[in-house]
Order: sequence, then structure tokens, then C-alpha cells
Amino acid sequence: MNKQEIKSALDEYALRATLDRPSLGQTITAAAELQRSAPQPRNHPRRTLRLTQLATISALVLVVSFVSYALAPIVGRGLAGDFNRQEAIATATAVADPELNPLLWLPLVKRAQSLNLSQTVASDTITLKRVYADSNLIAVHYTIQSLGAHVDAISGCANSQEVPGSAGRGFVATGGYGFSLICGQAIPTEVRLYANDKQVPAFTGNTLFMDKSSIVISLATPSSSGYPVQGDDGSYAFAGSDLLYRWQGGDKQGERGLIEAVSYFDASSLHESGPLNLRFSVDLQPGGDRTPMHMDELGYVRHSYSYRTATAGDSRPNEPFQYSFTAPQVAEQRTITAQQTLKVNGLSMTLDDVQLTPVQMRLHLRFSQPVAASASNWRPFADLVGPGFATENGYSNEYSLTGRQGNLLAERWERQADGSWLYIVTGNVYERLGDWALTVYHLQGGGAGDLPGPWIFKFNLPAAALSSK
Amino acid sequence: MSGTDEQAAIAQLKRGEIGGLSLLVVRYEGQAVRAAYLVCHDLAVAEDVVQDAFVRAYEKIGQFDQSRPFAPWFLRSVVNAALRAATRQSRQVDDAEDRLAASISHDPQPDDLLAAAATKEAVWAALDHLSPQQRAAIVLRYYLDLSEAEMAAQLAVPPGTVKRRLHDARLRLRQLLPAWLQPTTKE
Repeated sequence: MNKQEIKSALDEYALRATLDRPSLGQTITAAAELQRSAPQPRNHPRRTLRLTQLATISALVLVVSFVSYALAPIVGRGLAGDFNRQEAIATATAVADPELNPLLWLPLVKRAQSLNLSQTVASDTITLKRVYADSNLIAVHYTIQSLGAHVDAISGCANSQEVPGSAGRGFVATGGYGFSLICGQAIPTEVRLYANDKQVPAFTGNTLFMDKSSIVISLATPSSSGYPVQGDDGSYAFAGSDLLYRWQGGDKQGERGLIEAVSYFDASSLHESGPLNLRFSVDLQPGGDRTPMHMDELGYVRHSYSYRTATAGDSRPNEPFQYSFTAPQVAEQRTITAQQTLKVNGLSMTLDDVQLTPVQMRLHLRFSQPVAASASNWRPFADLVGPGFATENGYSNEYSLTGRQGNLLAERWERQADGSWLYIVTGNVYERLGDWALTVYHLQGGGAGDLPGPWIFKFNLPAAALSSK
Repeated sequence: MSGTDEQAAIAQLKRGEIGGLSLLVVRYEGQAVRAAYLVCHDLAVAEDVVQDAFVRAYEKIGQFDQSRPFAPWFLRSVVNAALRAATRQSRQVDDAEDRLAASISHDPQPDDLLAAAATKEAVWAALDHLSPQQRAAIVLRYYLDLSEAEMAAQLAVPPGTVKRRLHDARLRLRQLLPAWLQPTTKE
């Protein structure tokens, strides 16, 4: 292709992805105006605005995603072979249950145990709704309800709007440009889970997921270890750790706000069989008036920080909500022994096995680290495609809102102590029988660049093996 | 909007009149979002980048030389911001890249960069498998028509790095395109 043809191809590629995208004109102008007129420190309004930018954009993503899915089979024709990512993504969307709470995708809801355990401290009530546990993952679904939470104008929740009787109260801001702020809503600063008195680490990436009217906001924080995160100015901070939030509430003082949340924990280190004695605790820690979610310079939620540092008068002692209960472990699991070794460009790579639980697939991969002076840790760049299921191709695993039947945990690579790699894909994978492919496109060696592949591993999930280990 | 209108809009902005921004947004938003999307492959991120770029342009308009065209100045900043966003997303570390670039002697032929792609579909498929840096190089070179020297200046990297990114992009495209069309070899 000549240069003009390449330019034309690039333009058409981008045009398809940005089809029917409403203009950002009003938002941009309003952002610039606020930037000009804001009396706050320079970064304040922009950070606040970015949240709403993402709200707008996320909504647009839904629209564009729908269009993209419609076009996917056409776009995907260029990809030959058994596994077509575009078709898989389209199919994955098609099987999503529209009635399902996007926080809790189907297999998790089906197998979860109902709890309905409530505790109230001051004007906040936390109710544990359900728990799911298997050998790899524990998920706790709960709600946080705050008396006094309400929607306020885009100008923000002023100090005077603190909830009576509660000196200082965090609020969740989704404000700006048509999306109002949520004020007076308590939010968790830390959650912990113990199983048989052993602490269970929080699982995988961090996603905040909130909903206001028909606008869905998907936000991600990068830290895998979670709370708390200090703000840029050293002030009070909040960061989501494996929590998915959905806010519901009215626009009047005194109405109850409600956050739905799901916390995910990695149970693979427990090695426990049978029912688990679980202890789950949540800290609701006030920090004065604050916008807990801070957008960094790139528009992502990295952490949050207070507009003003909490003072002694604002603080109240940590009053963690604690719940003890027993949860059965879902026994369904299976292991596919792959033992496939592929050699590409001189590098042998082995897929040892694939472990499945109803909501997760774990693939064990081995290869000898290439020797390079400038890189000591080569990590795979890959995607996984199966019947009606496809992961992102490695770069954008934490930010995706599209598809996945509400699975926002997406995928994660973890390097093991023995040098091997574990590729963890969370989602509705267990009953997707048929052919799957793990494509490792290349190894990323940090500053050493990439070591090209691809290594394409193919395996099959047969029906006969269901419910067997 | 004519060139005169654009000049008038910029003059408005320089006088602190925000109305000029709307005209520029109408004219360049679409192209900017497409350029950003080509780099970061995430529409939400692309729109965020563009929105921020417009606000930043509004803030920095005083530094803009009005005798020069607005589009290259603005779109390059968009691509740069998109690259930062995409790089942050992918958490890649490029700190040794310059040293590597210096050791690479390939002299890429720009018109050969996407020679492996015979069709636009092939270009699209291949784009998915380039790194953000490589995509940014492609966008600057082919979408915004920058020379390698301009790219180096724009990306604030040595010319060798630009050469290396273009070279890597070309290599990857050549490797990836056949891979989708041929069965893999099992050892």
C-alpha cells in the first residue's frame, strides 16, 4: 500500500471506532470556562471534571461499543483461523443477561449463598447480600446505605452539607456537566476478609463501578494492594481495591443513598476444603468534605484526596463493620492438562495446564527468560479467545467496560515464585465448551523492547469433563 | 470554517474570549479523537485526551505562534498525550529504549513501513498488535504526515528512537500478518 492508502486505512479504522460519537464541544467549553474561573488550586477543577468526562465518555463507549459489535463480524473477516476475536467478543456480548446486575455476572449469582446480614453504625448501614467462594476466588456482595446521601449541584458538596450528627462525611463525586455530585455518601476505606482466621488477599485489579440514572461510570485504580492511598497533598485518601460500586439514591437531603459493592479476594492460597468460616470487615472512615476519586493527569482514577485534610473534629474512631458467617465452597472445578510446547523464534514456551472454576480460568505458562542485559523480566503479551469469550489483548485489561457480562476484573498476569507465569481470566468461562486459544503475541522486556512470537496454544474444553477435577 | 475563521477564533482565544474555542472544537475534534484513538485504542481514553488537549490548548494559546497553522500544533499534542495515556495504561517501561535505538543500524523506508499490509483490513488487524509507541509512530508519520525529524522533536526523543519505533512497527507487522494466516508449528 502506498502512503495515501495507508493514511486512508488508518482514517477508516478510527472512523469506525468513533462512529456516532456525540460531540464533546459543550463539555470542553464548560471545562475551559471552569478552568478559567475556578478559584481553587489549579488542579482541583480539572480533576473533578475528569470524573465527569469519563462519565460522559463511558456512556458514549456503550453506544459506540454497540455499533462496534454490530460491525464486528465485518471487521473481523480479515482474521483467518479457528478463532476470531471479533466474533468471539460479539458473541460474548450476546450471551449477557440484560436483567443481570452488572456487578454480579451470572455464574457467580447462581452459585452464591444469600446472607442478608445488616449492621448499622450512626447513619450508615452495611448489608452483606451474598457470598461466593471456591478454591480460587471469594466474592462478597454488600450494600452501603447512608442516611442523608443525596445528589447535589455540579458546584460540589459544600462544607455546610455535612450530614447532621456526623462530623465529616465522605462523598462520592460524579459531578459536572449534567452529572450531579453525590454528597454525604459513606464509602469504605478498607475491607478485609479472613477465612478460618487467615487473611485472604484482595484479588486482581481495582475497579470502581458506579451508576447514576442511565449513565454508567467505570473507573479503575491501579494499585492491587488497595487501601489507603495518600493523596498528592498527603491528605486523606481513598482508593478502591477490588470494589465495584453502584450508587442509587435521590436528590433530596435525608434520602438514603445506596452503594452496591463487590469485593473480590484471591482464595488460591488458602488450600481449604469444605465450608469456610469467614470474617468480613469494612471501615467507613470519614474525611470531611472531599471528593474521594481523584483523576490523574491522564484522566484515570489513580487515587483520591481531600480538598482539605481531615481534622480531629472531623474524625470519628474507626468503627469497622464486622460480620462472621460460614460459606460453602463451590466444588466445581476442572483441570485441562495441556502440556503444549511451542518454539517460535528460538524460544520455547509451554502451556502446562488450564484450571477452571465456575468464574475463573487460570493458565500456567512456562518459558526460559531470554537473556538480555537490559531486561530481567520478560512478561507475556497475550489474549485468550474461546466460545463467546475474548479478553483484551493485554494492554487494556483494567479499563474495559464492554462485554464480559459485567466482568470488570478482566485478566491478570502473575509471575510465580518458580519463574513461571499464571494468566488469570475472571469471567463466565466454565461452561464455554469447545475450542480455546491462548495467543502470546510477544514478550515484553521493558526497556529491551519486545521479543516477537506469536505462540498460539490451542486447547479444548470437552463436555464430558464438566464437574470433574 | 475557513482559515480566516480559524485565525479569528485563535485571536479570540488570545484575547481571553472563550467563544473561539467552540470553533476550533467543531473543526478539529473529530480528527483529534481519531488520531488519539489510533494510538491508545480506547475511545474513552481518546476522548478524555482530546478534551484535555483542548483545555490545555486554551490555557497555552498565548504561547502559540499565530503565524503557524493550528492543526499540526494541536494534533501533535493530542498524539503525545494519547501516547502517554496508552503507555501508562500498558505500564511499559522504555527507559533503555534510547540505548537500544543507538545500536540499531536499520534505515527504515517510510513507504515500506506498512508494505506487509496489502489491504486496509490487514492494516486494521495489524494495528491491534502494535505497541502504543509503534502506533504513535505510525500515526505521526502516516496520519499527520510528519517527517522523522519532526517526529523526534514532537516526541522529545532522539531520532534513533523514532527510527527504532518505525522499524519495530514494520517488523511486527511483517511478523503478525502471516501469523494470522498460517497454522502454528508445534515443536
